[in-house]
Amino acid sequence: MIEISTAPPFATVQDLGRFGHRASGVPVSGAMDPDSLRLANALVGNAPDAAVIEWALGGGSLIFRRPLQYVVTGAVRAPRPMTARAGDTVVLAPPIHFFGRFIYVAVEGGIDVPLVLGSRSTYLPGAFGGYKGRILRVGDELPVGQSRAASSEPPASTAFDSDAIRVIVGPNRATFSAEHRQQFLSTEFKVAQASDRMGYRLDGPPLAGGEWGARLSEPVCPGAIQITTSGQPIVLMPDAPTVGGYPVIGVVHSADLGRLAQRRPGEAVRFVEISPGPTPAP
Amino acid sequence: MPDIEPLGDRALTIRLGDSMDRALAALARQLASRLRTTPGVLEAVPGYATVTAFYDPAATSYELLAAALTSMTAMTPADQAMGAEHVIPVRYDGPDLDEVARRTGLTTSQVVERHAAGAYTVYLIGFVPGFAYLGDLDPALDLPRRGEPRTRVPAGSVAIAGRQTAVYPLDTPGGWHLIGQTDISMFDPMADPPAKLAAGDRVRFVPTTA
Repeated sequence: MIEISTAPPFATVQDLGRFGHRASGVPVSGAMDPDSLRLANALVGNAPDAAVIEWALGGGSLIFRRPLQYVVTGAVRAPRPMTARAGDTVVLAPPIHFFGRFIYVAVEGGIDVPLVLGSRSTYLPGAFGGYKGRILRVGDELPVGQSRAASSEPPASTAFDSDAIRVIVGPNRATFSAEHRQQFLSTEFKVAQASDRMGYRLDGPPLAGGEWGARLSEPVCPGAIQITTSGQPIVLMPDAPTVGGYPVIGVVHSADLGRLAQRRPGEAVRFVEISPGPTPAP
Repeated sequence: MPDIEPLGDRALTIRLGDSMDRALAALARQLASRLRTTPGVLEAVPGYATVTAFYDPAATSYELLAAALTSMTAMTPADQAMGAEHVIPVRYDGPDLDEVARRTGLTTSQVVERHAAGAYTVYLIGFVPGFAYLGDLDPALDLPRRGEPRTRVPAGSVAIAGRQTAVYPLDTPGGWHLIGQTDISMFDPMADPPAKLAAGDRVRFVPTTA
């Protein structure tokens, strides 16, 4: 058991996501930066999909009720597994702006909240999953699972060795001309203030010369880049609805979405087109 | 050649048309159900006139699935079976019922009659978990969404907008006209499947006073 003794403004329990229920309109949710979640789990010997605390916008502290290994990854300088003794209060610094906006706190055994539709991830708009379907507050007591004796290797990074975010063009090719795609791919956008677990709006010159109004909704996914009526892009994030009516100019490669998620409002974003095949070697 | 495009590195979308149409919805439902038994496919989700397959890139590829889909669309539709039938009791006492009557030039009982007379099809599920877009609404009830959406629409609200109707499954913001309320739960995260309705299902509304 670990207790939240000082809560940051925005912390939720997340795992790798809730799959298999999109036809019922259930978003995948899960970590905004899945690579940092996998790394955190590997460093404390957890299964890759164990649940952790995703933490943003500030610092906080945890009280450990029994001795446990823990680690903090994501927007931190150097992740290092530590051991807390029973009764220890562990103070967590806010995410370091230079490294991003989310940190991931994994404890040995994983956060053992009940599975809802196969996942421990919190889905705030539906108020289910995670810890009582909500943001963590002071006094919340999080159950911790059984430790696994086995150690696991940190995952090989699939990150692309460039600032650019890889995009697969489609599935609304007919809506966008080659010039629109060219304009989109040559623009340097900035992450807008309006960016959260549902989607990141991007600021930049609006895509001009087309009709981007809402049309018949079709399935979308995290990473889909919608062009809104005003020509501004929104990149859908893990809590986004499963269907959308705005045309999608392209979709961020799943290996790069976490890198985009870690960018803070005002940070630059450039996109580069790739084919939908296997992840090319960096 | 069918119109197939990638939706990222682990999904693809096939476009069957560009209209809200029962025949397209039936075709989308049938393709989705065939896709669910195709190796490597993890989930298949119908849109109004599209189907999206989410796949495991370690088990299949965009090219393999696109080829499988192409041969599926070339086959004669074999399975014309419709979806499940549902009857939803409604108390027609919604806060917008009077306004809907005024703007459509009908009496409130005519609005209720026309809404309850419809035999609806679930076109797709989305917006929030369990939200089913049902059509087609009687053209006499066709109104644009409210100018000012509500910040909170209570779960169970029965609503209309354009040629569609729906039951709000959760407390959410919403811009449709609220004409009634049902006690039927449209979404339960502890159930499997969690949504009461699925794309292709048929729905009727029955007035109740209880």
